[in-house]
Amino acid sequence: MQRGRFNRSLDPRIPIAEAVAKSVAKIVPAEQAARYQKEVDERDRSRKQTVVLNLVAKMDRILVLTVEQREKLTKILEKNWKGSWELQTLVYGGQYFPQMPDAEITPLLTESQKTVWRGVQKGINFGFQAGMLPGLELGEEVWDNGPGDPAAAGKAVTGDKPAGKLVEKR
Amino acid sequence: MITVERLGLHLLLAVLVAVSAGSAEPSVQQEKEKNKDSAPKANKATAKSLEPKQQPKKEAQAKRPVPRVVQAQWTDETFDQWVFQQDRTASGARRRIDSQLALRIDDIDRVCRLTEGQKKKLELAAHGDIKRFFDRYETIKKKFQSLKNDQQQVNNMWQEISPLQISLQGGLFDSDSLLQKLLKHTLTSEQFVRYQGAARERRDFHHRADIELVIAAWDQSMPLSEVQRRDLTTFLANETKPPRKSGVYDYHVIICQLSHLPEEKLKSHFDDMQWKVVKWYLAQIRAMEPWLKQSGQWPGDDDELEQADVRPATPE
Repeated sequence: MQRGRFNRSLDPRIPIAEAVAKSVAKIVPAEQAARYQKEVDERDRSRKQTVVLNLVAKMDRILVLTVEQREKLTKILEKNWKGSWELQTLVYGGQYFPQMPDAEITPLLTESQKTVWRGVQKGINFGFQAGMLPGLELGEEVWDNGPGDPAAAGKAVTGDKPAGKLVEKR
Repeated sequence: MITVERLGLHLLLAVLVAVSAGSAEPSVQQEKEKNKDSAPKANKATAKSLEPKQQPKKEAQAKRPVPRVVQAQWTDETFDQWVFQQDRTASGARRRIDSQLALRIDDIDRVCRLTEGQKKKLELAAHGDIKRFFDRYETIKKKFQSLKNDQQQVNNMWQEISPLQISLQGGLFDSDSLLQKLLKHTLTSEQFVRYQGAARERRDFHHRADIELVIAAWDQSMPLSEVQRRDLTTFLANETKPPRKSGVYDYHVIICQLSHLPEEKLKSHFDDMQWKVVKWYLAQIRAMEPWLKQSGQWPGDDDELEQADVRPATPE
């Protein structure tokens, strides 16, 4: 998982996800573990794509880019991806940008766009944000199939619905 | 449903959180801290001049609760920072808006190949939009100046300040602007078709980004499978419209629209546990709908307005 130079201590989800993946690899058969890892990697890829797409959209709102510029910017941001371009910068408002790879971005812009882009505030980081679910009671997950139960195999998280039946603890 | 006053307070809080989190703008908290700081300093200075034997008595007095009236000190600069945020001042915002206008006209020119006459007309209309915004700002600022010593009244003023912020964040040249209205009457039919195509492509691009943001936020709170993410991307693209004014509340506009769908239609995309989370999101954000409508961000039925009223301009 490529996370760039992101300060890992800012997001506790990263070590948790990694620890879970490690445990999964130990507990379930290799095939299932591989399927789980694939799902984790897909989630990571999707998140990265969302951040890049939204950064380009944000730039477009300010710089009125051409389709070609947007496509090139997307490639530049994908290539220079930093884990610190977290969603909170996107959620917290159109005016904030993380530190961007300006050395590669600027040559793509017209002179008027360069002038505007230079004036845009960048490098704001809000730190960790645990999503938007304060105190929502979801109940405890109880799996109706034990670990390694053949009945659970093939129904892991990669399917349309998550594996096992989620039962609320009373 | 929350009241408009409460919404104002919520917005104030949201702005304060954002400001205190990252920007160098002074916040209400900082203003209060300033007041708080000045009081202990004065006490310290007085204490230094006291004889040692007098200190216990003075300290006892200091411990007694003393009623203190804290008067909020809002300045014109504070007001400008609220309205103009990262631009901080009217002149800073003006410079940015002028640059945005130049980029906007460049873009239309690139797509439509404008004549000099058309360009001038469009610039004139856009300057009308800029003037209209600054007239609104001046009116509200005058009101603020007359009320700025009354905390409650200043809180209530967020109903008026927040639309100014939204106008600036979304840009002054949206679908309600004079520039957009004049476009229809200034461009030839052929130019206008080209313009519409480019505008639609841009709107779809932003809508896709908003949809992915909604799904990423859900995924952050309740992991979705790749199949669900793909399925939801298509579903949201089909069932929601882009906001009328694009900006920082695009995300809320999308979720609010979902809350209007029949429950079963949306629920079928989630398992029971996930549905609880989604329902929570919908309930929270639904409360913002009146404000999203009031501030002109809600997508209207006439979003294809440009298509409906095409009157070719007289060739120059």
